[in-house]
Amino acid sequence: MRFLSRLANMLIVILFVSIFMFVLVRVLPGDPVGAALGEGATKEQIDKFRTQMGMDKPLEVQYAVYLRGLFDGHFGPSLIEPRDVGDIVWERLPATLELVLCSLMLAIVLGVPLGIVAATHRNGPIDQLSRLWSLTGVSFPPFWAALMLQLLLGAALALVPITGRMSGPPPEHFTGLYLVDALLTGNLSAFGDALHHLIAPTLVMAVGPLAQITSMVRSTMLDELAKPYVSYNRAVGMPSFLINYKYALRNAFSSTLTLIGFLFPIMIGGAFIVEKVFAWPGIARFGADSILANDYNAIVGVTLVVCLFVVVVNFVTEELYSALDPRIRLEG
Amino acid sequence: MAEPVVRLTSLRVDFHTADGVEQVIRDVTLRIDPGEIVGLVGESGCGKSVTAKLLLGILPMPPARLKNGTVEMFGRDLAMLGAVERDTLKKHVAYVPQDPSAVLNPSFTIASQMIDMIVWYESDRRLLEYFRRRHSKRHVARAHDFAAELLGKVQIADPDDVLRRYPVQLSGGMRQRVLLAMALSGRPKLMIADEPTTALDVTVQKRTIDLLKDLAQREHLAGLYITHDLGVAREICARTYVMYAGTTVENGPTAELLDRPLHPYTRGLVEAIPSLAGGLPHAIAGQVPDYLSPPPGCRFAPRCGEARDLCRAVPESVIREGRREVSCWLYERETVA
Amino acid sequence: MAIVEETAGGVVSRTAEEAEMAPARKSGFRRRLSRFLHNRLAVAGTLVLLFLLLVAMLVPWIAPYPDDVADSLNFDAVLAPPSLQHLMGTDEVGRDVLTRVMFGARWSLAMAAIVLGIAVTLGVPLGLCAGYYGGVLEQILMRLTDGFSAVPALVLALAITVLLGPSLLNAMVAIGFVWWRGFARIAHGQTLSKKQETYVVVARSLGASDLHVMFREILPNISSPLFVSLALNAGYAVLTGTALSFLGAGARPPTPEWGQMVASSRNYLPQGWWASLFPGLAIFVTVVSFNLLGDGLRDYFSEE
Repeated sequence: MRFLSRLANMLIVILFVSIFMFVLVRVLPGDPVGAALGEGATKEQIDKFRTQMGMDKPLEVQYAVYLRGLFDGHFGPSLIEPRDVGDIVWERLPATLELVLCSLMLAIVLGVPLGIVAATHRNGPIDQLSRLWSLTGVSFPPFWAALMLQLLLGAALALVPITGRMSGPPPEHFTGLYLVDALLTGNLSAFGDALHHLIAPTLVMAVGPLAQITSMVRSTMLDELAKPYVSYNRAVGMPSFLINYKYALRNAFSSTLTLIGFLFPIMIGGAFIVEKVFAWPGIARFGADSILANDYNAIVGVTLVVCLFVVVVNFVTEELYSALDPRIRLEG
Repeated sequence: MAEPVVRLTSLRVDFHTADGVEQVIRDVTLRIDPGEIVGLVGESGCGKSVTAKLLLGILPMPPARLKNGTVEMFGRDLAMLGAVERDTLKKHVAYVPQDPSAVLNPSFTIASQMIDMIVWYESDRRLLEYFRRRHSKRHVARAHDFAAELLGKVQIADPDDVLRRYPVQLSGGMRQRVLLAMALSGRPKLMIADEPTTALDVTVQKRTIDLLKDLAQREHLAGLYITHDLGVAREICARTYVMYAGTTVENGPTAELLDRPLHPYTRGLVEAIPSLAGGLPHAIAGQVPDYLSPPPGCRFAPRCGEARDLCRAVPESVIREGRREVSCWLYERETVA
Repeated sequence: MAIVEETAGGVVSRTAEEAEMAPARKSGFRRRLSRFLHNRLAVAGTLVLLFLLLVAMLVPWIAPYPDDVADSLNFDAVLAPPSLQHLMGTDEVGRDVLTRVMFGARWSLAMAAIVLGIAVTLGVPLGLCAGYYGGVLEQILMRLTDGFSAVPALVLALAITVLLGPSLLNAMVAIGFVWWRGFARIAHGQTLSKKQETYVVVARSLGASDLHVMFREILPNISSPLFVSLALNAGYAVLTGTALSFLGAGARPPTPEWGQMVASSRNYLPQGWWASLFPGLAIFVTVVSFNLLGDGLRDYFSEE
């Protein structure tokens, strides 16, 4: 029951955002058509274009048309590329997904143990380092960090490539996630190539979230480790490993899960910058370009898709939340 | 005579805090023989729990430091043992803490927590062995059966049902019984109970105490029973130690101790109990001393109605009187001719 | 006197720590102030910010090459590395980077101020009302804040900025408009918790108007978390603002805004790396200082 109501909630949110973006994009000043057609466009050309795009009809009609188009999977034609936005988005989405997922995973895989160690070895070197990192990690301007990393790793040390997703041919297309596809087809060289290219942008994107996750895990673990059941388990001789990673972490993790839910949209925002600096062919870069070009349909389309993703992620984390804490399941 | 299960000798423990050094345990001497339940009574702040935590190995040793004395368990001097060996001994100690609700992890079923413990004890502290067994259906089933058996021993009617539940779904009395069952999972020889009935309803308290007594007898457990309730001590403890401000001031067979208290503090405690016979209880005037700068002599002297200059200046020594011991200068005078 | 804590399971050393943290000798304010001053990092952050403020105010007089703020070409000194004459080197058109970084401080501090000003002015009253009146108003507010949490702040701000027309001012307005929800949420939550307090009930029973209760009674008592949030968000405001400029939606050349400076010098990398490094470094230092201040404030207020 609750599941259904949350689902309904999700859909309402998406609908609402779509209306808002739709209206916003058409209501505010700025003339994309003129910009798209270029300086020399005559008024007739502009008007003809507008009629073609259906821009002369009232707003509600435009929206209805748009909604109907959505059901078919058409987001409307883009102004920058002569294709439907839906197609462009579909094509470029995996790149961004791969980037964001890898960064998130890196942040979690590194951040959680770091946070635990910081909590169990309070005031030790790792704790102090992690506290320092928590402060500085979130203070780096992502675009600057990206550039500096490019300089350092790419130019100065020539360790990793600093632009693009692949140097050689991409693996066969199954999911669009190069790492996954490469593994599925046993294409090890493509795997290595893709991984190589992922290193720098992933690092940049993971910096902030890593700092926040470490900090959150650390403080929730500290709270948890002070609880009576921890000293009880120690008193009866249970091993530290079990106490930290199974018992305490299970209870402490819910806040971190919430944080991850929060971080996802922020990371997507970060992708807008990282993709630009690293020339990553993802949806975020397309989004940034389309915003700058006032490409109506593209803006709405990208925002919708981004929204959809965030909402789905939130949904999943909420489900995980109640799986972690049986009290919610039993009482809710 | 068989070796005592626990022997603390002239224990002195200091706490190094930011405010200074707190001399929390000044002189504790205590002995528990096999099969006997020994009580430790005293008011809040006297150091009972610190002693218990020391025995349980959960006293954080950086702020706390053992300044003097020995701690022997099962005949072994704990100071001589490495950390791993000390942890291995924990299996033989059944810990019954004060608040069962706080001590059970709310996110795991009873079965999960009990099986974890049982399998861990079985694996003899080897992590890899533990993981292997924990994921082997056969071992888990066996552990499950053993858990059910233990729950039966604590008089839980439907063990399988309880095993399936989460702590939040059980009543307070049930949880305490589950804890007792968990305490038995390592086949312990010693029980350390730290005010186990304080957090329970009065009606449940009596049942729990009877259960504890029963278990101790059947499983041949020695025990240290910490309480501030003299009545409970009388019920369950063969011998009792009275503790004040970090010192064991008196000890002896419980009934004798409470009927004929020697130390002025014990007398004060006994008189503080309201009785049906008559009169309001007399509280003991004064407060527990400041551990940062405790009095040089007997720590009870500031509150003692019979204190003399000697008491205030010199720490008292232990005087034996048959099966009883008392640390008080009042009795010294009587034995010196 | 710190009594050794005796609850079963309670760790004894915690009391020792608490004893360390609460010398209950001085009065409330002075004690907290002294704690704040003891937090060296927070003090350092505050000092850096004050320094920045000073620089921002005095820059026309103290900048080494004040003409380099606007268009100025200096062909013989294009992309000169840091030297005694140009401590941070020169950029791609020969302008002194140090000077421009100093001028950039104005823009960034102004950005923080304007963004937060808008966000607070919009968010706090809305949150107050929602918490106070409850009902439909509250529901609408919750929906609004939740709904927008799905869209990344940067994206929304970017969209609004571009649609308003790329300029620094529009960027600031856009970000402020996106950020009111954080403050609204805090104000809302805090109002809910303070609504039932004695002084509120008393004021209402004495016939005080709703507005009075909200703004003269409740607001002063919820100001502490708002201040903390203000300081912490200032850093993010600067980050977002400079990011927008970097993407081309905020400040335009030749405005010496830090994000914009990094963007225009980017094309010349890896040469002239100093022209991108120093503005970015300035952003970093500013944000760190705001965060330190925010953390310090949080500790300062948390002793209530």
